[in-house]
Amino acid sequence: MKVKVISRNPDEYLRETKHDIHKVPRNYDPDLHPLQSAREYVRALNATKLERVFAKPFIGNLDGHRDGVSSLTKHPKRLSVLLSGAFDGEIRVWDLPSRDCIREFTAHNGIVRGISYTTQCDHFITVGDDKTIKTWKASKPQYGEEEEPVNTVLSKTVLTGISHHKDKGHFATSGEVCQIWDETRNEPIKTFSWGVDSLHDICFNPIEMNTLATCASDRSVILYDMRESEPLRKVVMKLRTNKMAWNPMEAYSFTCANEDYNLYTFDTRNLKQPVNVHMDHVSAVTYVDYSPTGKEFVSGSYDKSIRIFEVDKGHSREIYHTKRMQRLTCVQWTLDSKYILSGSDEMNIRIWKARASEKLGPLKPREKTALHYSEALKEKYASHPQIKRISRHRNVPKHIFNAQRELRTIKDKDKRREANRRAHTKPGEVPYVPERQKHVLKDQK
Amino acid sequence: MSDSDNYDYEDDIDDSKHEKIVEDVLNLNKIQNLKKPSRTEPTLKISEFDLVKSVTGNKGAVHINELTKVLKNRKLAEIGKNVTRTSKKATTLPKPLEKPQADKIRRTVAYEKNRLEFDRWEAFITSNRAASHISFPLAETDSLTIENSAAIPSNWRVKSDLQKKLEQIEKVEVYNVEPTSESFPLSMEELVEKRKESAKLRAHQRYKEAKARRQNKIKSKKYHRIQRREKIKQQLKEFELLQKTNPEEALKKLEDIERARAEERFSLRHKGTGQWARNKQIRAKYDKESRQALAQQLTVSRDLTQKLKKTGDDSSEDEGIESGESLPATTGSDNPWVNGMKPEAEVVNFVSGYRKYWDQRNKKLEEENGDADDEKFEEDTDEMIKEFKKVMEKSKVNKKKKSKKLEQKIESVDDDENTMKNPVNKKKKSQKTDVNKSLNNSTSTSEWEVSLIEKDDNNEDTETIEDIFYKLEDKMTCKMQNKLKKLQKNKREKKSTTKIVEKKKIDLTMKSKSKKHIIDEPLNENSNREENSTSEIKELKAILDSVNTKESKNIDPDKFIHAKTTNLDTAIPNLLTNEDEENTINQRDIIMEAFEDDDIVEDFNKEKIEEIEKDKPKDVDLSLPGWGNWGGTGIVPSKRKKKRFIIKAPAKMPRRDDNKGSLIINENTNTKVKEHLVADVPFPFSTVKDFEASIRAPISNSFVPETAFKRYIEPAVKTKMGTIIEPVTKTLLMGVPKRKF
Repeated sequence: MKVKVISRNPDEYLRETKHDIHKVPRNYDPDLHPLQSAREYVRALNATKLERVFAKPFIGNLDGHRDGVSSLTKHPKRLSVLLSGAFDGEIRVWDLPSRDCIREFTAHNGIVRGISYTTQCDHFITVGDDKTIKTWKASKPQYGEEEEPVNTVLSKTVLTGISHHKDKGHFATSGEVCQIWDETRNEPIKTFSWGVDSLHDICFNPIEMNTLATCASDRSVILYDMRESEPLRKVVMKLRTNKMAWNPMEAYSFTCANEDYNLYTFDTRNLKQPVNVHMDHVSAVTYVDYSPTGKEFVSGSYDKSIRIFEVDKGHSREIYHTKRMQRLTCVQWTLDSKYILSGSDEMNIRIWKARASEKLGPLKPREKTALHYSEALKEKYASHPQIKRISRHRNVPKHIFNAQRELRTIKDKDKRREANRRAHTKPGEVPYVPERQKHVLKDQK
Repeated sequence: MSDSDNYDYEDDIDDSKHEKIVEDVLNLNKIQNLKKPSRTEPTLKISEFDLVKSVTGNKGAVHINELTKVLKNRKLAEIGKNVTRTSKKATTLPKPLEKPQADKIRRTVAYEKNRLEFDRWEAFITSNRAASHISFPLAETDSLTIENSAAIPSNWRVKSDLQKKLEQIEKVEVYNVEPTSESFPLSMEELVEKRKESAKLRAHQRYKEAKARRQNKIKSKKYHRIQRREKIKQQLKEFELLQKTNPEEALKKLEDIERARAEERFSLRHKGTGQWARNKQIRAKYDKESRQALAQQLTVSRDLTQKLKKTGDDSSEDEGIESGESLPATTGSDNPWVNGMKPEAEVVNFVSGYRKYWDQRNKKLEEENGDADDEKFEEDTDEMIKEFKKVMEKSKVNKKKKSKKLEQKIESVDDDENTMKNPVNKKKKSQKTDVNKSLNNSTSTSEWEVSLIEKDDNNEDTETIEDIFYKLEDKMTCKMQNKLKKLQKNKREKKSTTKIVEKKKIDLTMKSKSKKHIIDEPLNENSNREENSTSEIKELKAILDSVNTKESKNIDPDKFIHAKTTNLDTAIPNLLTNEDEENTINQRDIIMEAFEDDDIVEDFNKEKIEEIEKDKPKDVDLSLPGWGNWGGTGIVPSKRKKKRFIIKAPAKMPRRDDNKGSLIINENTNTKVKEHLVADVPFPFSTVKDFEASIRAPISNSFVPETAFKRYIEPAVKTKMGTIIEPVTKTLLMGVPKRKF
């Protein structure tokens, strides 16, 4: 008798190890899968919903300061170290993974205005309201040693900010004037001034390292070249710029956090109008910092919220807020582009995830693939209304919501008024002015 | 006395004190000579408080005159004279600029200098922005070591003699790049390299010069002709390439070509007016070769004076062509949309040739009415036919480049003398579209295809050749005017674009490879405590609003009829609308037959009424029973409350099937699907087709192979966990040095 049996080669259906993916014979003929896009849409929708479910950006906070946090500084070479200065002159060094304060001392009489690491990272320099520039050792003092600055420089002028050159032993301070200092000298090696208005922020360009920029209280941003004897150029905006940050991947672009609730991205080569206007905050923007990838930046505002913007978009992709977080004074994006650190008025430093729903820690390859796949799906179906609605929905505090509504009515009113005026005047009398041209008063040479 | 007394009195005072007083008093009159502050710290900035008058003062300054006065020697006195002479001649320098102006100038110069430095980043940044995938930290070039893979095993293998010899012959280049410090301008190695490079360049140059000299000495005309032709060909090729890669440059080149063309047009070269050409013309009657040479000369001139036609490759044009394909071929030479047109020179040549022939013929007819002219005519026509053949060949060569062609068929004149008197030309035009054309953006010249076909003797056309040519001429002029207008318009557009391009300094914009949805909208932000009215009320409100607005407007039914429906044409065939009328009629008959006995009309009406009733919006009752009143069974809520809390739906809602008797339109069937569908084409996509294609292409690994899947899901930005991403450095801008010594 003949017995027919089904025999299959196990090589065709068995995987070699349990770490491999299952061998699934597939026929990719699209005619066999008539519901391809429908199935993908459902997957995309689910991925979007899950993303919102897992969006828990707040990681933890560092408490210990006895006054509002005035400045935050990242260690340029190590991810785990954070420096923070407070309004009472106290400086704290934090160990981020353990969320511990590893060192604390009073550095200045009055507010700590700025902290900056030296190039070698063995020292850091602080400036304060007591008109002193103090250099401190980065390492903790030995047992029995006092916390003492390595060097103290008495400045002739008020100091409001500090920024260190990336390669050389130079640093720059802002105040009444912009001064360039050498680490080894007690006098500034160069002084720039343009007009009499004081400067409240300073920032070295991390790429073209001779260029730096300051924000002045005459509502302007001034560019300098360290090698020149004069400043380069000045842009005067409608309202004051509080803080500016250079893009670490694009030498010529920088972003300003402005008092008029907006952020402006400029190209240094054309300062007549910003490249982009980033709106969404409902109060003055106090701080801005770039992601080290140069694709996004984070901003802190007086409206008690942190927003994350993409460089080429006019609106934020994310808003972070908590009930207890007060006015933001400083925000930093960590150098591995994963976290955001924020210091606020109410003495706490908070740690956030840069991507709200990202899973932390190492991922298994399959997990990673799945996440990338869902990411790709979300991107593919991004403009579908339901996916857009879910992914862009945020709950905001009532005061932000109300302020937004108010702003919207104001904006609508202006628009309506302009339209009316346009309708009732000679054509061409009321020109259409693009948003980007509305905010810069002049590009002063 | 008292004075002396006083004096005596003062004498008693301490000596040292007295001295001090005296010194102080004396010092009162003097100019205070302060010491210059000495400083340990070198600074550029000098404080205004530190400025001190020089010890010697103005008085102490040394003047040249005084110095020369000392020179009493006769020989040296000359120097003194010279000095005085020059001092007389010397003019004072102009006053320096005002400080603000000078500062401004310094600032602008510094800014421009700085700007140039930034400009170097343009390419890097643009490519980074356009890149679909970036992984951080970026790979830096200075840490890169490239070694030829061939060199690696050879390091630990015994080489044979042959191998060594071979290596000597062709050296393997090894790149070994190490970070070089910026502070030194040029290292020794670099200097040597630079010198070698320049020597090589010089040698190359010398070689080229020698070659050129040698070539110039060659007298062969043929050689030069070939050379020139090759050069032209090369240029054309380059131009075409340039058109694809760098349209801006191509535009410039096009202008050059245009200029060359203009020069050719106004010069008398290749026009057949030279001595050589005239000689050839005389000989042409009897000699075939000279005739050919002459014709060739003319074609050369035509080639050089042809206008280059630029054709765009927009998608819109694409569509236009497609639509043109479906249209029946129009016969209108007066159709301005017919792209294909014969270039001016050719038409004029053609027409004038025939005109000449006709004039001559008329004359000769008058004079002789004999046979001799027949021969001539034959020859002439022969020539014309040849010319046509050439044109045809050329057009065949250009065939690929053409979008639309007009075919003109000219029936040749028969050899027969009798039929020669009424040669009939029949023209027939047909449009052709070439799909290839739209794809490659190229230049084309003539759009006429002239082909020779056999004449059929029993042609009925009785029009004389003259009439035909007059007509043809009219049409041609009309067309040419149209074309001219178009060209002028094009040129103006081009100019405007070039102006814009010139204004911008650097423009390296490029298309990103994959299209991504760009959603630049504010977040949809809600407050938790925001009052959410129930969906029912919202719906009802929406309905009420829509009804109100509809009623308030005076609707003109005609408008509705004429209103265009915005059909976003999908690639999916719309099967529902493609039903044939005949089919429906047949179906109706069949249905009528099947339900002859039933009263289906009555049933249907009932069903429709039910359907309408079901779809009617219902009143929303917002009243809370028992709120401010007694609640329970049997208690009727007050009228006032009813009025206030019940939102009434409109009595009659406009329906789409109102006036369509035997039709129920259910508008609510796919409301659930509707909210998932995209209403507009999202931003970076321009056509529905593109967008649909992007959606239809699956990315999942259940539909595409694993490798493709991996490629599709690659994230745009990759970062490494726990790694610091440093800002870019200038080393990225400076490529890898060429060689290592």
